[in-house]
Amino acid sequence: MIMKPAYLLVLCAIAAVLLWAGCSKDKDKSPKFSESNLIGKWSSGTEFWRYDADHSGRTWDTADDVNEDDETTMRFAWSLDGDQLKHVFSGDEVHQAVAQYYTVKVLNATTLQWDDGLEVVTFTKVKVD
Amino acid sequence: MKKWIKITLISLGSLVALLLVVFAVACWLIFTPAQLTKIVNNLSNRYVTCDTHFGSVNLTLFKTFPDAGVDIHDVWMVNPIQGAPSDTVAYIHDLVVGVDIREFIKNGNIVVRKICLDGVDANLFTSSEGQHNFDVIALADSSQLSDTTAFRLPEEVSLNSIKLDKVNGSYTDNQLGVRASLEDLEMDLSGSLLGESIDASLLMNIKKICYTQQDSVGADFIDCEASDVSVDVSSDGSFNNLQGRLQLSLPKGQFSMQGVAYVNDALASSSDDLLSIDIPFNYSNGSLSVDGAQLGLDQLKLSLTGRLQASSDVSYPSLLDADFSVSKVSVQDLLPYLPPQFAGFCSNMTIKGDVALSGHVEGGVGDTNVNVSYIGCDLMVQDGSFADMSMLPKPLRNISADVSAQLYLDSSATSVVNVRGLSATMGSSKVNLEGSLSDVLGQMNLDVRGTGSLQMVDVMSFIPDTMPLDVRGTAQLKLSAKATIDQLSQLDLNHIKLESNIDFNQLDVAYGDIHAISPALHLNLHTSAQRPVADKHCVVAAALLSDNLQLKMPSNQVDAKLTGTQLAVNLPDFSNLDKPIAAAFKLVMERTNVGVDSIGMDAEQLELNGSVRYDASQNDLIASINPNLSVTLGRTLFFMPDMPEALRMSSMAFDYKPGSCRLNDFNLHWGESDYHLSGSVLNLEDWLAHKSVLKADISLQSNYSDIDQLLSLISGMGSDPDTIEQMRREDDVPADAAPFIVPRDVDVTLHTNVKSCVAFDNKLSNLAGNISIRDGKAILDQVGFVCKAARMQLTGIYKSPRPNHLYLGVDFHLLDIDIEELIDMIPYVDTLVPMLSSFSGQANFHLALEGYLDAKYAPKTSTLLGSAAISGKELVVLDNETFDKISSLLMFKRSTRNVIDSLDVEMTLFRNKMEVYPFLFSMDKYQVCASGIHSLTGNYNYHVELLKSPLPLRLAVDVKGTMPNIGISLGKVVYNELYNPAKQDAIKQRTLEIKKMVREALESNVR
Repeated sequence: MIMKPAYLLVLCAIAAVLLWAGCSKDKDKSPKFSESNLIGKWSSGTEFWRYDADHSGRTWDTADDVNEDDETTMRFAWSLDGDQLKHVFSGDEVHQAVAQYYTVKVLNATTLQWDDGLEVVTFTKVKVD
Repeated sequence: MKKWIKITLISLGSLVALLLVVFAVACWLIFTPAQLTKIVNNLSNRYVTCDTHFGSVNLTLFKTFPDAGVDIHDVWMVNPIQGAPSDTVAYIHDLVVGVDIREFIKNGNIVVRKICLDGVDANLFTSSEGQHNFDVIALADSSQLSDTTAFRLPEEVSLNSIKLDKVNGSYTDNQLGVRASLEDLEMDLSGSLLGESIDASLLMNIKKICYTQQDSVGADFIDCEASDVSVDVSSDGSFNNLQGRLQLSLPKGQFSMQGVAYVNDALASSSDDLLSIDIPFNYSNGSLSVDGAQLGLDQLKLSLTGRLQASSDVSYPSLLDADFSVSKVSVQDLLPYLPPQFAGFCSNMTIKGDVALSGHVEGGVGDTNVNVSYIGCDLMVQDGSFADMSMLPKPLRNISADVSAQLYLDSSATSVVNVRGLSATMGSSKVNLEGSLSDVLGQMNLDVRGTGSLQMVDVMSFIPDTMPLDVRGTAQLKLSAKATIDQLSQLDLNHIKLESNIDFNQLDVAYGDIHAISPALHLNLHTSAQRPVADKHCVVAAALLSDNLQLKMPSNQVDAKLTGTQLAVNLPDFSNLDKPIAAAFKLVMERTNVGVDSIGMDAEQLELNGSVRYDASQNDLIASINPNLSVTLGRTLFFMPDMPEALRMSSMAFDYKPGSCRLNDFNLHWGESDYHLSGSVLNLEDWLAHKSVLKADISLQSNYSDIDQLLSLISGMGSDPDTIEQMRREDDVPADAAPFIVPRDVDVTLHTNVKSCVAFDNKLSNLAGNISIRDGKAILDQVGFVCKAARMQLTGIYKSPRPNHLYLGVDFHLLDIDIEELIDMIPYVDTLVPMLSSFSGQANFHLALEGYLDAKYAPKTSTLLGSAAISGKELVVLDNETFDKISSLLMFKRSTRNVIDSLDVEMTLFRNKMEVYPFLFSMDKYQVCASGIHSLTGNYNYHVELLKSPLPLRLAVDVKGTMPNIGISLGKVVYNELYNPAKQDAIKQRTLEIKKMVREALESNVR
C-alpha cells in the first residue's frame, strides 16, 4: 500500500516532465545575413553555386562534366530570409518546382556555410578576374 | 530525027568544041602561071593586110573537071605578133578552087563549085591584149559597108564539094587562156542545096585534137585530148522533111577538169570506143525528132528517142520531148572507170549490182541554154551488194531498189519520188522500205514505211567493241514516218509523224554487269504529231511491254523476274532539252533479289507503278527526276549491315510523290518482333538533302516488339556516322557503351499499340501511346503499359546533346505494383526510397524525375531533380533490425500486427538528397508520423514520432547516421497530438506542370 502512492507520484512526475518537454518555446533568435554577401560564385570542391543579383542562380558540378556556361546547369530562384536560404529549382524539360531550404550558418565576403538538414557544407567564394 | 537536023547539030557541036579549044589555048597563052601568080599576089596585097605570098597559081581543068579551076601552091601568110608561137599565120601547100566556067563565060561571074585544101598548117593566135594574128583581111570602104539589105540564102548553093586533107592547126588565146590544136584533119563535105531540097554528106576524121583552158591563176581548168575522131553526118530531103544521121566515134581520149581526170587508165585501155554517138534524125515541119539514138560511153549505153519542136516561146523557141534509157549495166564494171579521186574514196568498197535507168525529159531549148520543165525517170537496182568495213560492219547483200521520179521543174504539178521498194540484207537481217517523197521541189514531204527482220547480233555489230554491251535475239521492226526534209534536218519532233513498233524475241541483253533476259518484249515509239502523247509537254513517247523480263546484276546481287512490265517514257523536243522528260511505268516483279552495299532485298512480289519526270534545270536528284510512285511489295526479306537478323516483310504498300510518302500498309518482322505501320512521311527528299526536317506521322501496331532492337536501328538516324564517331571520341564515350542518339532533323510521331514488348530488359505489355522524335528529342506522351502485372504510364523526354551527357525527364506512374517487383524492375527506386524495401504489398508509385545520364545510362547525381509519391494500403512491414529497434523504443507491444493500414508518402529529390515530407501511417493501435532526409549514399536523418498509442505517453525517435551505423535514439516530440501534416500536394502540382510542359514540348517546334 505504501508503494502505490509512490508509484503514482513517480508517474505524475514523469508526466509533468513529458508535458514540459512537449511544450515548445517559440523564440525567434535566428541570425540575419546580408544578401549582398551572397551575390557571386561559390565553390566546394567540384560543386559550384552562383547567385545573381536578380535572385536567380545556377549550380553545377564539374565532376559530372557540367560547366558554368553549359546549358545543362541547374537553374533556380533564391531568397534569403534571416538564416533561411530558399532555392526553388525548375527543371530543364520537365519543369518541376522543387524547393529546398538551407539554414545559413556563416555568410561573409569569403565564406558561406549552410546546414541542409543532413550535413553542414562550407563554400568559398570564387574570385572573378 | 531528020538528017538536016542531025547534020546541023553535029556542025554546031564541032564549032563549039573548036571555040572551046581556041579559048583554052588563048587562056593558056594569056593566063600563064607567072602572069596569074603575079595577079594574085597583087590582089592579095589589096585584100590581105599581112605579108602574103602565093608560090604559084595555075589554071587547071583536070582537077576540077567539068569546071575550070585554079590550083595554088605554097601560100604563106606571115603576121608576126609578139608572144605568138610562130610568125606564120598559115601555110597552104595546095589549094584548088573549081569555078563554074559557063557562068564565067555567060555572065562573067566567078562561081566557086569546089574547094580542096591539101597540106595546111595554121597557127592562130590572140594576144592577151586581144590582138589576133589572123585579123588580116583589109576592111572595105565604109561606103561598101553601107549595104544593109537582109541576108538571103541563095536559091542554089553552088559550092558542092569541100575537101580538106592533112590539115594541122593550133590556136592560142592568151586572153582566155585557151590552147587548142588539130592534127591531121581530113574532111569531105559534099552535097547540094537546091531550092527547098538539100542533100549533104560530111565525113571527117581527125587524128588528134587537144584543148586546154586555164583558169585565172594559170592552172589547167580543162584539159582534153581526143584521138582518131570520126564524124559522119548525112542528110537528105527538103527543109520541111529532112532525114539524116549523125555518127561520131571517139575511140581514145582524155578529159580532166580542175585536176580531176575523168578518163582513167582502165577507161583508156577499154576495147570499146570511149565515146560513140549514133543519132538518126528527122526534121519535119519545124520538128526535129530522133528515134533510137545511141550515146555510148564505153559500156554505158544511152538510148534516146524524142523530138525537138518549134514553139512560140521567144526565149525557148524549141520544145524538147524525149525518152531516154540506160541499158542494164553492172556497177562493178563501171567502177574501174571512176576518176582516181573517186576511186580512192571507194577503194575500200566492194560494190556490185545491176542498174537500169529510163526516163523522160521535156523542156524548152534556147540558143544558149536548155530549160528542162519535166524529168521523169525509173531506176532499178538488182542483185546489189555493198561492203565497206569502214562504214558498215557487215556487207549489205541482196540490195534491190525500184525508184521512180516525176520532177516538174516548171512547178506545173507536184514533183514526187516514189520508192516502190528498197530492200537490203545484212548478215541475217533484212530491211524493206517503201514510200514517197512528194513536193520534191518544194518542202519535200517524206512518207516512208519500213519493215525489218533483225538479228540483234547484226545490230550489235554497229556497237563499238569498247562498249560493254552485248545483245542477242531477234526483232521484228515496223516503221512509218511522215515529215518534211526541213523537219528532219531540224529534228522537229513536234511535226514529224513517226510510229515504230519493235517486237523482240528471245532478247538477251548484257551491259557490263547488268543482264536482262526476255522471251518477248514489245517496244513502241511514236511522236505527238502521229498520235497524242500522255504528257502534253512531251513530243515523243516510248512504251515497253513485257510479260516476262528477268534482270540480273551479280555484282549488286540483283535478280529480279518481272512478270508484267509496262514502261512508258515521254521525251521533250530535243531542240529544247530544258523541258522535262517524263516516264511512266508499271513493273510487276515476280521475284526480286537486290543487294547494294551490303543492303539486300529478296522480294517475292513487287509491283511498281508510277512516273518520273526528269527536269535538267533542277540540281537536286529527287527534284530533277520528280518521281511519283506507287509500290506494292509482297513477302520480302531485307538484309542490312549491322543487323544480324533479316527484316521479314509480309507486305508493304506505299505511295510516293515529291514531298510526301503515304505508307498504306507495312507489315514487318524482325527477329521475334512484328510491326504493322501505316501513316505518312513528308519532306523525305529535302531531309536527305539536309534542307528540311523529316516529318512523319505513323501508326505502329505490334504483337511483340523488341524496343532495344528498334532503338539500335534508329539510333543516330539522319546523322553522319563520322560525326557521331567524332562526338564519341570528344566525349570520351567508353567503347562498350552504346547510347541511343536521338535522330536529328526529324519530326516523327509514332502512335503505338503494342501488345507486348521488351524494353531495357523489362517485359512490358499493352503498350499504347504516342512516341515522338523531334529534332533531337524523343518524347513519350502518356504511354501506358503493363509491367509485372502493374499498370504503368510513362511520359518522358530523352535528349542526347552529347553521347556522354544524355538528358532524361520522366513522369512515371505505376499503379498497383508489387513493391518487391518494383524494386526488381527499377533498382534505382531502392536507392531513392530505401524505406520502401521495408514494406511488402501493392503500392502506387509516381515518380517525376529529370537529370542527365552518362553513356552507360548511369545518372549524374549532381543533375538530378525530382519528386516522388508512394501510396499503399495493407502494407506489411518486414521484420528487420531497424524496425525492431524503433518499435522497441516506441514501446510497441509484441502482439502488434505489422500491417500498415495506409501509407501516403511524398518526397523531393535534389541531387543526392531525398527529403521525405511528414506522413502518417497507422499500425494496429498506433499512429505514427515520420519525416526526414537522406542521401543516396546512405546518410540518414529521420524523425519518427508516435502520435497515438495505447500508452499515455508521447514518444519520438531520431534515426541518424550512415548505413550501416545508424543511430536510433529517443528524440524530442515535435508534433502536436493528433498532428495531421498538411498535404504538400507537390506531386500533383508538379505532375500537372510536367504534363503541361510535355504537351508544350509536343506542340511546339523543337528548340
